[in-house]
Parts: sequence; C-alpha cells; structure tokens
Amino acid sequence: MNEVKVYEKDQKVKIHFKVNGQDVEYETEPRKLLVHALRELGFTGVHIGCDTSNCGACTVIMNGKSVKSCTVLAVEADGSEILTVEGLAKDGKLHPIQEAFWEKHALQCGYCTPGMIMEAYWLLKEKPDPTEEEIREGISGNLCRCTGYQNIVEAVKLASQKLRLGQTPYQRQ
Amino acid sequence: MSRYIGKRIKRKEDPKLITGQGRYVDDIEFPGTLYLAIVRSPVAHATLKKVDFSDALKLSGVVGVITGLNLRVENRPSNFPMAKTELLYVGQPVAAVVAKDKYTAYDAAELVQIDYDSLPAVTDPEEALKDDVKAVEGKGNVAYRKTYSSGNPEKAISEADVSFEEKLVISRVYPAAMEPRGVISVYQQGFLTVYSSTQSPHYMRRYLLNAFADKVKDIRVIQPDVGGAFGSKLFPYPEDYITVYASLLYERPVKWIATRSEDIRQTYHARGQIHKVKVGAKRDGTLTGIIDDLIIDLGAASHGTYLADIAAQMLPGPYSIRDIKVEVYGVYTNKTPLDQYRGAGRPEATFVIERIMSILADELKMDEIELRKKNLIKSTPYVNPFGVKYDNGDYASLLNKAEQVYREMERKAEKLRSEGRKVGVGFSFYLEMNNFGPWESASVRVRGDGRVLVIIGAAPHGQGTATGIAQIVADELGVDIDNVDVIWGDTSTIGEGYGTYGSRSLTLAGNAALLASRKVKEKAIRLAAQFLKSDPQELEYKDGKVVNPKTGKSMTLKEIAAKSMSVLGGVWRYKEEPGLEGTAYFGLDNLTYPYGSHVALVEVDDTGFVKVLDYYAIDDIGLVVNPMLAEGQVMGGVIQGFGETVLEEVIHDKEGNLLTGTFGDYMIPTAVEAFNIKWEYMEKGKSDAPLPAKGIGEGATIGTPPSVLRAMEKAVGKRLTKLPTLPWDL
Ligand code: FES
Ligand code: FES
Repeated sequence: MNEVKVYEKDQKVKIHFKVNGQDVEYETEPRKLLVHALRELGFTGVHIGCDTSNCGACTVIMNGKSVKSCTVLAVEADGSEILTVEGLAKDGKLHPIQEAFWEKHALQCGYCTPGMIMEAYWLLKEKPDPTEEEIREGISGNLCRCTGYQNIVEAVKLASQKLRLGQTPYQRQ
Repeated sequence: MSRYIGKRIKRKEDPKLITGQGRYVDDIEFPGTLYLAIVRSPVAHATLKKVDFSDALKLSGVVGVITGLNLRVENRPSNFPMAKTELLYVGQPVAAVVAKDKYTAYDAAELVQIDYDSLPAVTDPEEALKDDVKAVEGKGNVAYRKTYSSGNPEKAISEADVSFEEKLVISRVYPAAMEPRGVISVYQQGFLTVYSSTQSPHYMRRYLLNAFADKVKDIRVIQPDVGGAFGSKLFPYPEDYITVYASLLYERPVKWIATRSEDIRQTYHARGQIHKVKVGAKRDGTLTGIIDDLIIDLGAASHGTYLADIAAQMLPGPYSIRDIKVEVYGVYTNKTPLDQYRGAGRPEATFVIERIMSILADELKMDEIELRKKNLIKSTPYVNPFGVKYDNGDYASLLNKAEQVYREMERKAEKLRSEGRKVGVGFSFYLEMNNFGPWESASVRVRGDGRVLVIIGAAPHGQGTATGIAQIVADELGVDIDNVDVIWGDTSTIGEGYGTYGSRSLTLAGNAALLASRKVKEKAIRLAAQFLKSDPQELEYKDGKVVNPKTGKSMTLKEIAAKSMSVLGGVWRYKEEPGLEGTAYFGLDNLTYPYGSHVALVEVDDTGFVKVLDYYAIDDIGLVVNPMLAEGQVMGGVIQGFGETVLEEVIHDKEGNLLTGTFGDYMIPTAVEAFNIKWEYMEKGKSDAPLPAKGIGEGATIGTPPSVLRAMEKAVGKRLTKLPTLPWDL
C-alpha cells in the first residue's frame, strides 16, 4: 500500500532498508535521490549517467523489480530490499551474468555495465529464455556508448543458458 | 612463437568493472571535500553586466563563489575559463559555487543572478561566413582560412565529360561518453593531486602547470577508471581550471562532476562541417577534378581548426586524383566550441569522397564498385596530392573481398524488393590516418617475486589496451599472462607520456612495451651471467629463461629476479647493476594508414525508420594483437557511426538556444536501433613498427556513415546529402 508521507524540506528522516542482504540505517533529507544515498553508503557501482532518467546506469533491483535509482527518493526506499551489482557475486564466485559479460566482451569502459547487468538480472528473472528481440527490448532503457550492444546481447543469451542449466560452468581458457 | 598475440584473450580489466569495484572519478572521496557547481550562461550571446551572488552566499553550507576567473589559454575564448565581459554560448561557465555538499552547491547556484544585455547571435555557419552578425564582439567571424591545392581542378572540371555540384552537410554531434566529465583537485601545501576523467593525465599536467605555475610546485594528475571519452576528454576544459583554482583558493579538496545536461552543453561538440563540392570525371568513370569549399563551424573558440585540416588532407582518400582543391573556412558561431570526436576529420573526409563516388556512379549509371576500382590507388606507399604519405596496403584485395559481400547483399536486396520492401545496399571504402604521435612510453619491471609490472604512458579508458599490451609483454618475456599487470594513468609512475587518442595506444605504447621488454631480457642475460658464472655472449633468452646452450644450465626470469632480491642486509657482490627494469619510448616517423570497407543492407519503413538488416565490415590494420578487442572497437564504432547517420544532431535554434540538451532530445542508439555486425580482418598492410600494428579505435566511425547513408538512399530512391538524415527527411 502506498501511503502519503509529508516531510519538511530540511527535516532529517531516518530510513531503514536492506542493501545486498545487509541492514542499513540512513539519515537523509527527504529530497535525496536513492542513487545518491546508495553511492554515499559506498555502493559506488551504482552509476549516474544522466539527469533525465534516460540512461539506466543507476539501475538496481528494489523489492524484486528493476528500478532506475535516480527516479526513486531515498525515503521511498524505507523498508525495502535492494540489490546492487556489488551484491551479485557470492563467496568470491561471479554471478553467471557477470561471467557471461566477461566471456563475451560485453563491456569496454564499464560505466554502463553495473546497470546493464542488473537490468539483465531482472530480464532473465522475468523471461528466463528470451529471444534476441526481447533482450534488445529489455535493455533498451540502458544506454551503452562503447559496445554497440551486440556483445551485451550475446552475454545475456549466454547468461540465460547458464542460469537455465542451473550451473555456472566457468572455466578459464 | 606467440602464445598470446593474435588470440582472443579475455580482458584483464573486467573483473573489477563487472563487480562494481571500478573507481571512476565520482567514486573517489577525500575528507573535507568541497563540491563545486557551475553557473552557466543561459543565452547564446550577450554582454555580461553583473553577476550577483549575494543570495547564494547567504545559504548555509556555502563556502564561496568564484566569478570572473580569466586565464590565458591558447585558442580558448578570451573569457576563459569563465565569462567576464561577454557571454558566447549557452552553457559557458559564468560563476562557480563551492559548498560543503553537492545539493547545497546546486541550490546556491540557482540563487546566482546573471545580469546581461542580449546581443544578436549567429548559429548557422554559412550565415556566420557572411560576417554580418559577429559571434564574438570585436572579431571577424572567419577565424581560420587555408587553401589546399594541387594541379588545376578548375580546368579539369571544365573539360570533364560529366560534372556535378553538391552540398554535403555533416551536423554537429555530441560524443556522449556514458560517464560525464569530472575532476577532483586535492591541495597539499604547494602540491596538487588532480583526479580527472581524462584521456591524457600527462598532457593535463602540462596544461594545468602552464596556467598555475606561479601557484603550485607540481601537479600530479591521476586518471581513475574513465567511462568512455571518444576524443572528448583530451583537451583542456574550463571546469578543469576552475576546480583547480578553487582548491588552491580554499586549500581543500574540491570536486566537480558534470550532470548530463551540463556535459551536453560544455563538452566540446564535434564534426560540424559543410562541404560544397564540384566534381568532374571522364565518361569511363575516371575522377578528374574536385573543388571543395569546406566550412567548419568552430563555435565560440578556434581550437577545432585542425579537424578541417585533417578532413582536407584526407579528402582524396584511396583514389588517385591529382587535380583537387579544398578551400577551408573556419567560422565562429555562438555555440559550444568544436573539437575532436572518434575519427576527428577522417569521418568527414571519407563521407565526402565516398558520397562523391556513389553520386558519380549514379550520374554515369555505372556500377559503383567498378567506379571505385577504376580510381583506386594501384600501389603503395603513395604520396597523395596534399603530400600525405600513405604507408603499406593492398587496397585492391580488400576491395575485392568486400565486393563479394556487396554482390551477395545486392542479391538479397533484389529479392526483398521483389516482395515490395524498401531496401538498399550501401558500400564504402575508407582510408584513414592514425597513430597520432609523437611517441609513447612504457616501463617493464620484473619484481622480486617474478611478477611483471608494465607501466604505460598511454591512458586507455575502455579499449582494453592493458590486455593487448600484457599479451605483447607476456609473449616477449615468455611468461604467463596472469603474471603480467599493466597500469597507467598516473603522472608520477612514468616520466612522460601522451595518452590515448587517435587510435595510437596499442601500436605506440605496445611497441614501447615491446622494446622495454627487450631491454629487460638483455638485463636478465647480464644478471644470469653473473649468477651462472658464464660469459653473457654464451647465453640466450628463450621462453622465459636464460639458457647456456653449451652447459645446458638455465635460470628462469623469476629465478633471476628472486636471486637479485634474496638477502636483506647483505652486500651486492656481483659485477652487474641489480634490478630488472627497462623503459622505452617509441615513435614512428609517419602516421599509419589503415583502410577498410563497410557494406550495409538497410530497410526504410513508411515512417522513415531505418532498420539495418545486415552489416559487414572488413579492416586491414596490420598485425591484430587481440581480434576480440579489435572487433569490439568495430562493433561499437559502427553503432556510433549509425547514430551519427540516422539519429544524432546537436540542434540550436536561431537564437542559439540548445534544443537537444538532454538524453531525451539528443538520441544515441539503444539496443533496439542497434544491429549485429559481421567483421573480418586482413593483415597485409603492416606498419613499420617492430610489432607491425596500426590502429582500429576509429575506423568504424569513419567507414559507417557513407555506407549506411548510401543504403538508405538506394532504399528510398532519393539523393541524400546530410548527416544525420532523419525520418522526416526521407
Ligand atoms: S542516472 Fe540515468 S537513468 Fe538514472
Ligand atoms: S561499456 Fe562503456 S558505456 Fe557501455
């Protein structure tokens, strides 16, 4: 349920949320964007690429859904669970999507990459076996200036295979 | 024997970037950092009367406001880095607010009042050329004038069997690296450390020292991870100076990070050329004369003139024309200054000459591949009419290869056309110049544990050069690539360097690293001679070992390194200097000239939407060290070139207001417009370097626009002359 909350401009608001499984308490002005809050908390893998919610560099998973964290206020994240790129690798082992991005050369400068990986994470959750067109549609809110997207699409296809096979056959060649 | 060179080795750069552990400039924080926000000109041209910041100063958390900062920097507006008397373009810095945090700085910036008297603005470069309305008060609009001339093109055209005239327009674009620019300047008692999203820390050190020599003893520039640049983060920007100045003034770390809207306004725009061409040819297709009036839209400063020079010098392309003239006019306009973007002058040259080829084929009703063959340079090296010396290449073989793909796509297109679809096939052949010098540096250091550290003066920012150079060094030293680390981007780790631009890093820094590795090998032999009590002449370096073929004794590089380090506190009793390090600087006495061809099959629907159905590119860039990386450069470059052809245009209205000031209005390709590319390479046109590579950073943005536009032209059956050509133009 959405309830309407009213804050004073200079009021400090204390919020609690979970980031990558860890409880976080954070005091903020009500207008602060979630992307800024996450970055201040040290999750600098969440990038900022625009000020008009066009680029997707700031994409994170909030309560199971992908959001552009520059379009969410930190106070709106109160009580939520957030997953950022920093939370994907487990026990020193890369997530299959991360492996796939590496194997397929799906990044150059890497600036769009965390957002792109999180969007892929969401896409593959929704559609475990997407067609190329669905992948392209799915990541169309995430801009990449370096790769031309071809290898990103390939990486998402590979990640989909890996995830469906329920394994992460990562062998270094 | 190469274990790594020529192979698709996965990138060493990636692990940190895919886990969110990259460190871009905005990820770096220092205790006590102040944040800087820039107040920018809201208008294109005005007399600046007063900047009132009294309200801004009242805001709690504001440390100060800087106005009227002027420094002498070559080719920059006289009011640089801040407008003091005259506003010249929308987005020009006017004041800077420094505050305890970002939100406060931007709040305060909104309270700064700029009082000005509007002046008429000029935005159209052809209007500017008339010089009626002055873009910069007290200056003529023609900032630059030059003639490139060979033979007698007037006569050649007047005697031609066929001739035509055309106006070709290459609009202004915005490079749009995904990471906006940003700087942190840290002051420590007479010394500065500057972290910057730059393509060249060494060059940045030099230009900042030039301006602030009386205020600092030295400046160390560090390039953190950089989120793309494409040429746009090479040259001096106003915010670099303003941020450094603020840190000197307040003796605190000061951080400035551009918002995207600011980045679109102040990051130098690119291209912006109009070519009015007259062309003559014989009936058999032989090109006989070209006259080109080239107008370059410099914006409010003159540092982009070299882009017209490159475009003019490379206009003949791979074709053997002798009667040719280019008249260059560089004009001021009330727009963001112009500078380089991926390709820098060669996309413009290639667009013009390839348009000429295609249009001439249409005029003569001749096959456009045959026409190109007829005019193609027959042998290399070759000196073009403007004195540019093309190095080695086998243009004909590459053209023949691409022709087969073209014919195949034509057959496909024929079939689709018979189904009533509006499709066309476009072809381009490009010849470019790259490896802009003059040289690059590298240092190879073997540590006591055998790990190899390579430091390069180049400053890659996404290209994967560190992986390529690790391949070169690992092969040369005969060691495992996992034991080779490549670092860069810090003026204190290597004496001098230039950076990454002009498709140069793999060739110039790569060869420097190769030569430095050779020095290390020689040193390893001399040290091993001491350890093995042999004559160095008897020893040879092979597969990571120094071997004495006579005795069969050997030591690995790691063993030599370890033995040099073994006793702490002892004495050094060998007759050879300790240490396994080599530093080399490498330059070429000519630029390199790679070439290639692009073929596109394109469909245009009734709304004017352009869909690329098939795309092929082939390049000859000499030796390819890592085909995966080279292919990545091509894929990314093709999509940028496609954006430039059908989407991207920086648009100002007549008053000079920017109409494309966000990613909502300035459209770059998304995954939906983008398409798959097939790429091949040839390795015939080797460079003269020991490791005979050329460069591939820019080739695809050069080859793509003419091929895609040609395909669109054939799909709609109407001559197209502008980049971009938007749906409503079709
Ligand atoms: S920062 Fe661009 S969409 Fe959030
Ligand atoms: S890898 Fe550079 S923006 Fe995507």
